[in-house]
Amino acid sequence: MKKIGLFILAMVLGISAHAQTIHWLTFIDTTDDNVGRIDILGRQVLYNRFVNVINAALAPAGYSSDIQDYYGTRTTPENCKEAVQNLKCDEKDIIVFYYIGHGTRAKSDPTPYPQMLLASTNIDKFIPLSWVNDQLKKKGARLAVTIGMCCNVVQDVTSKVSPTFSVNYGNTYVDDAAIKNIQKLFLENTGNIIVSSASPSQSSIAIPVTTDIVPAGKYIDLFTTSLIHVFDHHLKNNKNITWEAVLDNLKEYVNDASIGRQTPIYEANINGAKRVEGDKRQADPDKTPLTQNDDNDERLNRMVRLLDLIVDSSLKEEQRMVGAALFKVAFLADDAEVKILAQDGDLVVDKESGSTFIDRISTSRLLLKVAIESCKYVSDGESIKVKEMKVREIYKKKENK
Amino acid sequence: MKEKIVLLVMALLTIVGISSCEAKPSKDALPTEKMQKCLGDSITKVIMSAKNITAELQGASQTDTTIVTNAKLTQKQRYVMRFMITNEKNFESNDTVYGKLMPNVVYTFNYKKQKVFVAVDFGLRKWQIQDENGKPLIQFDLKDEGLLYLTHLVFPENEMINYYYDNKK
Repeated sequence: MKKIGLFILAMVLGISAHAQTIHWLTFIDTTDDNVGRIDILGRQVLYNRFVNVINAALAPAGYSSDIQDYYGTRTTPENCKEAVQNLKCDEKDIIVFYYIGHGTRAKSDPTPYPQMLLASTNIDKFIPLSWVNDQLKKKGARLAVTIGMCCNVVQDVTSKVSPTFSVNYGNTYVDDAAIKNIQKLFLENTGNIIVSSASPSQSSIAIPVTTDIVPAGKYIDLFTTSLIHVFDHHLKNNKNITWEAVLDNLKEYVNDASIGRQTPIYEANINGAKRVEGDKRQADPDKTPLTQNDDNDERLNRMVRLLDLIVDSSLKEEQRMVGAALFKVAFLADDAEVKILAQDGDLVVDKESGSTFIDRISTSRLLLKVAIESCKYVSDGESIKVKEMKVREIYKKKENK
Repeated sequence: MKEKIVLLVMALLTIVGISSCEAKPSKDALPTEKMQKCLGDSITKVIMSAKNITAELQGASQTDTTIVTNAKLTQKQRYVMRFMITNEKNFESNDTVYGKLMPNVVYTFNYKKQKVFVAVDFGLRKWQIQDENGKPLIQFDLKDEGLLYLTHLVFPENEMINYYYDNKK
């Protein structure tokens, strides 16, 4: 009865759901004997410093995130092909593909971009990065970015078409300048970009960590750590940010850091375009109960879409509160607990009951985005509900006046 | 073209230089301390004493030519081989890279009834020593073109090896 009442209220208040989406397809080889451990760290840094920050900056412009995060045994050529082919999007959507793992190229490959091994040793299954770019171009999204972080050396395969920022033990804060710059890159450009972490015949290398962003003594891939650094620098300092400026700087940075051994290459077929604003169309948020059979990414994405609505400060307070109530009823177990993680690492900075957490975020004016790190579930008859949720919170930084 | 000739002459001079000392081969190519430490005495013994060393092309290197894919190294080539793989430089580093070792050529060292394999990937610029079961024992970065010159001498017609030879740094 309580549920029916809430749903009717939701309809009456006309809760809006984001009409636009930024789709993330990340494939990270975390099981490889050689680089798997390094890539566990690479994935963490990529999400905490790049994916979550971009999602947070696009949320006020009406963009929700759809994250397809493939790692562990799910990183396979089959899954990559399927995910790329099955991706559906609208014309205002944005797609970003990011691969971290082994790569190679054949001497007769027609493009300068590598083939991705995707944790496979079967040379017939390697997937050319340019194929991914070609497929994503055809999806009709306003912007498609394809990034491959892998070796690009010529091998016996068949042809187919030291950052300086400090560790953050608190929440993530994004200032106005960074939000504006991220929105400029993603919302004022259309077209496609393909990036390889190395030029043909070059390896992509891992380097010892020289920053306190992650524990010292560990290794991380040079390209991803450089991307985070260069991107952060441009977000804070570049008043005329462009993709070309960021990528040219990244090329130079990686080349210098590797003493000329690794030089990224890219092709940007983009046009400056009139800024797209997210439509706040009236829609009924998806509150279908979670089940054991759901794909984990889809389960998380469904919850994130409702969380996006709850934290959207452009909505009326009543709408956000109804969203909060719906979230509690649809997804949370009665004794659910939420752990809030710091931006870097796995440090828990706060712990709240699920109900308190949802109420708090539904009234926050500075919260931009809640990214779910992981969930533990409990069975509730036919459906399942969240018993424990680990999240990271990304806030808008208050301007010093 | 001129560069190619110079490099070929250098490679030949190396061979001539080594072969001129054939009477005392053990003094020309001695196992380094690091090599002995990494491999142990028995593997080192196989590498340094093998009188039968064969080379076999792998992967696409094997299929892009119909001429020769297997070869037995001559005495001179064996000396060159030992000279190359005892080079301290080739034991200096093994950088972590985002590529899998896919050997272009595997050299088999046969000594008495023991075998040791040396696998070389000229694209990834890595080389590996494997025990008789093919289990990798050590892997290092290739720091010079010595093994490429030798492989080119052994398989002069092979497209893949020629590609690396023509595009060497």
